Amino acid sequence: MTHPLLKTSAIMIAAACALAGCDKGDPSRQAAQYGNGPDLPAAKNYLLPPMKVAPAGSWQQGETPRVPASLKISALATGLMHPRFIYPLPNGDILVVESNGQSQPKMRPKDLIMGPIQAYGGSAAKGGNRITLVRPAGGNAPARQTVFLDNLKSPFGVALVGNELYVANADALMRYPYNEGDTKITGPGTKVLDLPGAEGKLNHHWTKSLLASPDGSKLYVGVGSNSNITENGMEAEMNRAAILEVDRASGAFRVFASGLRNPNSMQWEPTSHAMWTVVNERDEIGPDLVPDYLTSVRDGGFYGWPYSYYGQHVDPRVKPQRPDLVAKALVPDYALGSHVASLGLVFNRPDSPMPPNLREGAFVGEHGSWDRDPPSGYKVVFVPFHDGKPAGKPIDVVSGFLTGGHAKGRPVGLALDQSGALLVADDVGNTVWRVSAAAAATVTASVASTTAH
Amino acid sequence: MSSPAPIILDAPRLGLASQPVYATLVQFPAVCFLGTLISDIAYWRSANYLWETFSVWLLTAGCIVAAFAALAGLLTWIRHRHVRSLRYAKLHALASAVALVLSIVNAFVHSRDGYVAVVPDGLALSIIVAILMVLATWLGWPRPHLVQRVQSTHAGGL
Repeated sequence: MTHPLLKTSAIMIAAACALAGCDKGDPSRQAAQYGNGPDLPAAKNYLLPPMKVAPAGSWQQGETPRVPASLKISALATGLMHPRFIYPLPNGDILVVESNGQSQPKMRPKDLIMGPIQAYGGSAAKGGNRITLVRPAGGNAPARQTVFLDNLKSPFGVALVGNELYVANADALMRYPYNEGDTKITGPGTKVLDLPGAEGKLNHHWTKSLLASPDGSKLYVGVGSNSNITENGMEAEMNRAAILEVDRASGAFRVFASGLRNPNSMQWEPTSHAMWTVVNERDEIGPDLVPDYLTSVRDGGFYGWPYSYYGQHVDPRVKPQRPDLVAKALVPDYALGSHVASLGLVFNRPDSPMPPNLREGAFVGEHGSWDRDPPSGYKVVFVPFHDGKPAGKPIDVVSGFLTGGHAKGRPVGLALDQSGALLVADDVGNTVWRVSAAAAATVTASVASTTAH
Repeated sequence: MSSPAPIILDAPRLGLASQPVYATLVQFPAVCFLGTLISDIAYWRSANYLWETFSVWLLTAGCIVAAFAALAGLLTWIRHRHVRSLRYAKLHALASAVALVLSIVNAFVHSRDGYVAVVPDGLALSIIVAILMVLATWLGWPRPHLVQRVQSTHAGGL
């Protein structure tokens, strides 16, 4: 009797495995997805979406990520608590935002399972909920690290306008008084605006990026969606998957651009003065869907989420659909590859001491994710620009975060220091890396040795 | 000890089969899986994510209790010849086992994000499972006249 029973079970299990996560990402397709007009395969549904979790490791003493021979890398700050974002102050001090998301309500059985998996990948480490000030010392002396602002609520974005320092917590935009040279802020700060994601409520994409307009009259807040693809209802998406524009004087806000699933690290492009951002696109419809992207952001622009991606590619998982919105969905400027998890963005400056091929364009911090096998991202790339538009394939700048199947680090926020070196926040490695031109290093070294003699 | 009522003789040796462990546990998946079908239909018609959330929790709870019910059922099946020899026992076990396997698959389908968590695969599986559960209950319902006949045969064998 057990015979047909077992046989049926065996067939069922075999069928389940066949449908499960055995769908490998295609490296050639990944390469073909860079730039505008990416190659997009058909969307698939899975029983178990493709996944490859790289367990969190750590850097050995003296070990660093890899850079090309024209560059050198060293640790600027270490021993941090999940550093996510970097903000250089005008006097050369560097603010490092140490943060992670709060624990989230468990909406589905899947959330109970994904928690431990993400912890294995280093995403559940406790954030410092604080900002550390790093003051670089001259020569080869180590930089000084002090706690600048403590007891924050999952902070991410920082922007300085005059003597007002704005910090975007996961639930609110805060303002603090700041004077040049300050090494500590002790005041409680003033709440400017509640942001979507009140404490205790679902706040899926919790990072709130911040950018001030060049004249300081407006603040732009990047707010990610509250789901992968609306599975928590459209009510949960109010003022989300959008960049909000806050009037600094009145505190009033409006939606500046929408349909951006998880926009992070908005920046002004130096030639065109347009706003650009990196965006994380949707998961679970294939290893090579949907490419994360770098795009200019138009006032009033709608970029597709949740109804469609890359213009008019409709996502059947969303009901009811909105053909009217799909019709006006803008195509992003530059695809970075699927599941790279682009979170950091900084434009290089024209007078950069970096090698010529890295001068005009944008550095992008790719955090990497478990939504693809083999994993993608886990590196910092440079996207060359010409006349304010991307021109060419991305160049690997900092890599080696993922080695031997372990994520020793994961790059997130990027910034330039006063000397033009690239700073990289590494949240799993708890380090801020400083990447500079190798040639300039030789000069500094010879100067240092001259001084010593 | 030649009693005319073999059921009394057998009772101390029936163990798990004499206790309603399986009967108690097996109600949970039956109700959960039928509930899944109802909330799936509600989600299909309304696209309100709350119904899909009900479905996936009902499915998960049903599968977990069904696993314990399957264990109790299997032990009863192995240990007791007269349970095996009941007329519809095999069909009941087969229908229940297939319903459980399909429900596990269905829990994965329901763990997708958005409308495809239910329509069409999840809803189809929920309908098949609901039919199987009704069938299994009908086949597994004790029929005293059939039980009597089995016991008579059993007693005759002694």
